[in-house]
Amino acid sequence: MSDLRERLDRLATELTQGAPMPPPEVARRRGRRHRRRRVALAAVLVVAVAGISMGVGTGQLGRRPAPGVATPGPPATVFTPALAAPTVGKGEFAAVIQDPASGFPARIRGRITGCGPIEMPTFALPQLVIGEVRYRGRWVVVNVAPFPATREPPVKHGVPWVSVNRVPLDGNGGLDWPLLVAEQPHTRLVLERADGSRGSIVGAYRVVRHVFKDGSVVRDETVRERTGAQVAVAWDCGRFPR
Amino acid sequence: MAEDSFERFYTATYDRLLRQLSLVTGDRGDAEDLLQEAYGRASLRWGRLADYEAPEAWVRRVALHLAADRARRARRRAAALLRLRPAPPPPVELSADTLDLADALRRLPMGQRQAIVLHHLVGLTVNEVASQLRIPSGTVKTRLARGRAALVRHLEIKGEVFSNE
Repeated sequence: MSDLRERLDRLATELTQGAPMPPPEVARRRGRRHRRRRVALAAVLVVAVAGISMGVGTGQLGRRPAPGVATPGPPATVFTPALAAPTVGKGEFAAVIQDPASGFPARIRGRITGCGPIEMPTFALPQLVIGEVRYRGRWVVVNVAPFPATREPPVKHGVPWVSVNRVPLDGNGGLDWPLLVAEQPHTRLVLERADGSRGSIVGAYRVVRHVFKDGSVVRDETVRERTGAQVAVAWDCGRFPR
Repeated sequence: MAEDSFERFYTATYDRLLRQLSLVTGDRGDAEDLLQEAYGRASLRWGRLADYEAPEAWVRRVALHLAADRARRARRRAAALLRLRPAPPPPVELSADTLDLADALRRLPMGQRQAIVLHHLVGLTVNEVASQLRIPSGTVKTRLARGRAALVRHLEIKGEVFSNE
């Protein structure tokens, strides 16, 4: 055990060697930011609870524009009219899904949790926007890849693509759950910043499921063909890359 | 006055906690970030925390909780991303001697890593680790045993080196 302690000690020393100590003010600032976030969240909750208890929200909710239900039809590469991309603020993403299948929600909105290059052992996507929100006891994750991969993943979606995944909370990571994918040539990408940190993507989607071999994803199989129903995702990373 | 006291506490404990957190996260940048967040929260409650017997333990507990939370989020994100293997850790310049241990630690689940670091590096007893992580002592023992076994397997070191005691 003493050997383990010594080795842990050495490792800690090497990992932190030359690490400058930030001034305490940095921590205080961070604390104040944390408090502001909590106050804002509390305010939103109070307003929401008050609205619900007074019955004010009921009528308003009913009047919100619905994403609409697309009529199933033959697969199409042209989608006219294109679904309008949702509006987002800095650091936010939002998605609208027409005729949501396989238990996906019709609308998703949340904070972006990662925005920048993704490096995996077997593939590298130069840019990806990820947002996740909790939805009925699961996580819904939205990924966007506006530019081609520098090293291709085994599942090659046409770029640009967007995928919406549901991740159960039982620990299996949702790898065997259907996911929703819209890809070229069925997507229209609008980059409001050339580096891709703000933009939107709209396209007809299909629902796929990963096929595994030796624990790795080797390809996707379509579990629901494109019906013409679209997904529209908008994002604004704010600061970029993150 | 309270600000001076917080600064003294911060200066006295920062390096120590950074070392511990670096082992848990396997990455200094992550450890620094988590630690800043934990100190930030401590600064908000410093009036109360200053009277605690061990405010350092409070900061460590918050940082460990944040580390576990972040690891969960990272797992979900990686899984949703096509999802083959976890992303490799960023390169850190380590000596050959410690490189294997860093790799072995990274392979442990977060709970086992936390228990190993708190027990073997910080020197907390099983009961203290349980109190710090807010889990039963039996769970700590299990995590320590499994964590050590996994380390031994990975490092191919004789069992008695990490024997319990």
